[in-house]
Amino acid sequence: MTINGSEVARAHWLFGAIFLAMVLQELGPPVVRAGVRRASFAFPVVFLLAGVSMWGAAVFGNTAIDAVVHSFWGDILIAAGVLDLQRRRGRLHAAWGPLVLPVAIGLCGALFLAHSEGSPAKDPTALWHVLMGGVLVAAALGGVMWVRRGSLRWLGAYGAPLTAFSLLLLTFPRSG
Amino acid sequence: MVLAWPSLSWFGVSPIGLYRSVDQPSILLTLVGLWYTGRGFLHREAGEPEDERGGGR
Repeated sequence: MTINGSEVARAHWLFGAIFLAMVLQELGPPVVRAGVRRASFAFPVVFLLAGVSMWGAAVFGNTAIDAVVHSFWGDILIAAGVLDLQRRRGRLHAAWGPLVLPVAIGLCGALFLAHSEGSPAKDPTALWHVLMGGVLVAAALGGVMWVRRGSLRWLGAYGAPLTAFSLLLLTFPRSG
Repeated sequence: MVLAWPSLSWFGVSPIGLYRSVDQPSILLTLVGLWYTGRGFLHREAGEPEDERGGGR
């Protein structure tokens, strides 16, 4: 059983919309105006949802690298989602707790880059994977700096690449 | 909903039909925009400064 390019694209579009809603909920303009953080559960819930979806994608992956990368993704997203959920529930007080999400985002970006098959110059899907991996790595750097420094400038450096990632997912090309 | 209606009527009113109907970038983006706008209005009407519980960072 294989999944055709149109179905793959649709899955990316749907997740892109969910991810965009999560970014707006967590890092949107009201946070900037109020200058404070919110303890919504959007990030961990979306991470857990995405982790389960990734395991599904690993089972139905069309190639071996596809399956392996998606299973790693699932593991990272579930682990990060669970840790962040516990932190937001007040059960995790470790100093490294706030770094879990940016680090997980960076690891996911690296997997996007590893996952890219084919030439980005010729294959739009490969190009999208490189772009998505790049913005996630950039978001991770911005996120780490935001956690460390806490200024709105770093919040922008975290939120803008995550928004770009959502839009890339929403415009993921059909292939095959 | 208006945008999704032709597709919804084709696939039927079911979870799969609904998913098939809304899963287009333009419709999804519109839905997210409507949700975010509505959320802003609700917070404004309630006079709440957006959540201020310390959290994500």
